[in-house]
Amino acid sequence: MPPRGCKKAAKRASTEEPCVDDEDRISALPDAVLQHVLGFLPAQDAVRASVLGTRWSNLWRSTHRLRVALKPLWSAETQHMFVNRLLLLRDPRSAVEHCELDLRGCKLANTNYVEIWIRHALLLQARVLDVRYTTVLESRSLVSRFLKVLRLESVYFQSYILLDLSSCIALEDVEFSLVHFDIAVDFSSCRVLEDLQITSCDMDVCEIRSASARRLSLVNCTFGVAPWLDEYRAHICAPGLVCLEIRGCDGINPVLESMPLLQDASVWFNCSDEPGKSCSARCCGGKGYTFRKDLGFCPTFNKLRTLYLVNWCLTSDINALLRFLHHTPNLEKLTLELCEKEMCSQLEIEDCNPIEPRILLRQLNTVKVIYCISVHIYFMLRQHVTI
Amino acid sequence: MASEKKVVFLRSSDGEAFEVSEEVISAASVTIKGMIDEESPSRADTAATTTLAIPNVTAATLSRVLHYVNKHFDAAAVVGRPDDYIFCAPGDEHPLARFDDDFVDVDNDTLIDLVHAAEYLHIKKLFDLTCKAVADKLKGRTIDQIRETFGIVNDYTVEEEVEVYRENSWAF
Repeated sequence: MPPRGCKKAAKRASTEEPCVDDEDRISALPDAVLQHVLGFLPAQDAVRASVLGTRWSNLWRSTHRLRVALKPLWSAETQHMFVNRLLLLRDPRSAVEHCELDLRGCKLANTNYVEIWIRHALLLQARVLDVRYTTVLESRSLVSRFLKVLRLESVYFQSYILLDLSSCIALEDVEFSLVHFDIAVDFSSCRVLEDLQITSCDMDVCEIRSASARRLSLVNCTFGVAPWLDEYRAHICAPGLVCLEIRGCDGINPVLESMPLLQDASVWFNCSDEPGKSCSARCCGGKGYTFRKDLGFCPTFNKLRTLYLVNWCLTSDINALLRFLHHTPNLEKLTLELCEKEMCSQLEIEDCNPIEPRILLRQLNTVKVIYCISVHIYFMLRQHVTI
Repeated sequence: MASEKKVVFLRSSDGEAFEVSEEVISAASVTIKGMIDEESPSRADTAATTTLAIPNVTAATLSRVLHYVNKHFDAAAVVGRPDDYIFCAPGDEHPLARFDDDFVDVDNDTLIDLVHAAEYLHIKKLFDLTCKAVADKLKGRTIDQIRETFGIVNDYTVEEEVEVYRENSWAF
């Protein structure tokens, strides 16, 4: 619905408004606006802008956004001094809303400096902290009452050290990518945390714990070190989850603890290292084992409305799926994407004993089955499920 | 209710009036929401539509701003509300990213008019978008190129200029 007079006005713009090329309109912008503009530049460019004219001389000192990127061509000493000057010559009274540290080209042997920069940014009341590509960080804690958004990419912590976020009480949004975790990620103290996105991380952790998180996404992560030991399986304890996405993960599947508020879940677990052949027989056996075992203490997903199962491997048993459907009384949409036919077509229909009682899914209105044996599956589902 | 959507008229500095849904503009602009909230007690029992004067923004700029606002804040037009969590496949870009790119692909004067308007109307997303577009025009250019692009006058004396270069030499 375009506003009335929109086209007419747009035409006027080109004809009536004189183009004033030589007027310095940018320098006439208020301080706050110019600082906002400079905040989108890499810090180096923002500092350089000082020489444009007197109007620009100290603007960089109080930008609300600090984007630090280290030039790989600089020596370690130059890199070090650059960031030190950037942080120390700032106006200490103006808070940094958003601090981005891209340390891709970092040559510093001493990572203590990086930690000091991070701590300094947090002291400047950074609300958004974005750290990319650091070498091993020794420090285990991020201390800030102000931090709302934390993004870590390719950050390595010294092994067996727990990332301590217990003082980050304002944290709302966390994104981790290519981070290696040992032991556990505990967000219990982050009472307002809502979003957790974990991508391409090694999760050698016993648990991810958050009482408040509403959305959790785990993409391309690798779980667990000792799949045969049940106590090493990752536990996801997030009872407030509304949306859960697990996509392209491998290793041993995590145990999902009770999620009574869950409305939307998408779970896709790789079970082979070879791409394209995601379900080897051995693997399916293994998965089937844990899956069946998990169902033993499976909670009821009362609010689950959409279920999307990708690369679903039924081997010789549809009962696992049917048992699961017993726990989803309000399901509205079920999508099954079956794995490659050679791998999973040995479905023995005759052997499949009907489960009693018949599953009653009153809300179910869409069933979509993708791949070869869909007719059988659909037929079997109709046998067991009342829609 | 849906058919009786409330509208307001915004009158630009050069006197042209634009119609916009009250709900949409309130969601977008903190300034206009404040104006509407101030007006509302007096118009609660009248059928008259409100016209708000926007003295700092010309018709040309206001029409652009409203085009943006209708794209970004009209819940009916936007695919998935902005606050909704959508599972995006990797590589998916925001459905409006293309629109935004085209929107700020304008000459410097138009862009600076938009920055002013976004600041005055307090439309944060538009303010960020336009300031970032200005920053993109500054990025990767030499000082002389920037001065030329935006007509910035170098008002340093020779001594001052030497000093300011010396002071900031660590960033060069």
